[in-house]
Amino acid sequence: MLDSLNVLLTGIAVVFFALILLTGLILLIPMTIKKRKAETPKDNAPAHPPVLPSPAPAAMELKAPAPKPADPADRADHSIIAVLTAAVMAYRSSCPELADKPFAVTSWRKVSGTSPVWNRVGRLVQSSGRIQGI
Amino acid sequence: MFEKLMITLTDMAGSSGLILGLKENPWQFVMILVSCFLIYLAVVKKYEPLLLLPISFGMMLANLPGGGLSSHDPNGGLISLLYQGVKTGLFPPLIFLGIGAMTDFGPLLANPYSLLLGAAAQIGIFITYIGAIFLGFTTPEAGSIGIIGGADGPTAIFVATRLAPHLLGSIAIAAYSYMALVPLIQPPIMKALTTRKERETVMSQLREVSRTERVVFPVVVTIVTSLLVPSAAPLIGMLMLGNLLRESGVVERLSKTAQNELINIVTIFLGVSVGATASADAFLNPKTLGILVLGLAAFSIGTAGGVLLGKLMYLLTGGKVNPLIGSAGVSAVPMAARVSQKVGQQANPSNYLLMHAMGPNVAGVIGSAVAAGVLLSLCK
Repeated sequence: MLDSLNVLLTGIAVVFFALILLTGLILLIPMTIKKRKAETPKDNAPAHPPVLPSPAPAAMELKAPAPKPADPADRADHSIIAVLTAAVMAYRSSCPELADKPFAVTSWRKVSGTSPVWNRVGRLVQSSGRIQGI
Repeated sequence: MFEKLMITLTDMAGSSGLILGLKENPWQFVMILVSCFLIYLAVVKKYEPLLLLPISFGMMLANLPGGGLSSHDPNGGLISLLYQGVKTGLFPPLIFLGIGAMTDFGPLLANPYSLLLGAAAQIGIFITYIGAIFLGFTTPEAGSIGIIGGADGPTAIFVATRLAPHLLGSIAIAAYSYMALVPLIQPPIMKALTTRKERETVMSQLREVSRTERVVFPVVVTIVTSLLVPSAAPLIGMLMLGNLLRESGVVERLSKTAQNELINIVTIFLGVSVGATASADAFLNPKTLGILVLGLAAFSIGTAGGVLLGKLMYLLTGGKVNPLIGSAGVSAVPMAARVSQKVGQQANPSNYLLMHAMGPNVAGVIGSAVAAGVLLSLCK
């Protein structure tokens, strides 16, 4: 029985220790990144109003991120996301099993293209309508 | 001529599976019925069909008399060849590779304290270990049974293969059945351990997580956990490799393969060969009943452990953490997180806990892998 208790206590202690250590390291990662960004000046950065630094995560407290300055590239991304969301909604409305199930877009990420360059050029040419009859 | 025909037919009937089974071990027919019931649960009730279906079909194949399709067939039949992937510890880490490629650790990175909830939910593993010892199981057997509380199928199979391979079939079936029953097991425990006010707690929005954090995270976790618990390295290493393939953004083909073709192929091979270990002798005995009872206890205690730590965090933060997300620390991804969301919405219809619960949910995957490493070190 003592051996079993030994396993119980050792197991719980090791699991907690490992995950507490990981918690500390994960908290350090964003701080290290911010410190490196602050130390590296960017000469060609466009002039923007100063961005308020995000508060450090205090014990169990989460705050919304500081508002980012407006960027034309961000507006283009948001427009694309809105169009894609609308397309997905249109498709789902045509599927009876999906029509009444709500969904929300919570994150998006641009992925790098893996197709050969001539494939991409071909798609660009087609979409711009330069090839007749296709 | 007629006599010769009758003799031939009689010989064939005598060597048929039906007669062989009745002569050798009639319980095999009971196992065939059990496997049909499990197939029904997988297909009709949709109880974890991805693994329960191949497991139950493998069980049926292994119990067909004279078929030679058991995983332990000394003549090296098809399934015994596939079983080598389980026996050598190849398949579970490969499944973890796919799981890592499909998992978004963003909610965990946004709220790292979720890891503590993932740790608390693993308490069910070790308390069930004590219970198994009390019921007369040996130390390795108790370790294999306790890991059911991690609510992680590949981890349970990985540990059982090393510590108690003769219990593999029962443990796998118990693990996947209870994972499917999480929406039934957890809510009563969650409601019993929390007040309505606690369940209504709305948590603030999670911060954005940068790409750098997402890329650094799997590397850090692999190094730290493998240095602390080397036995956990195969599972944690492959989980984090899969996640790095996903988050790096530079190996999309590999990430897609890990998430789709690779994990699907390994799932079929693993499921069928694990199911084929559930012979009548191995499954139809009092130990299986003990495993089923202890498995339920493991899930329940793990849920309670996560919720109780969630309550403590609720108190320490002045009401900023909803204790319900603690129950998602059992690593039944994403079912346990959905249960937290559902129970939370029953108390407060405008409360959306899903993303907050995903943090402890994926933390539980890491926690159960670390716990598996500890059991492998201590229970051999």
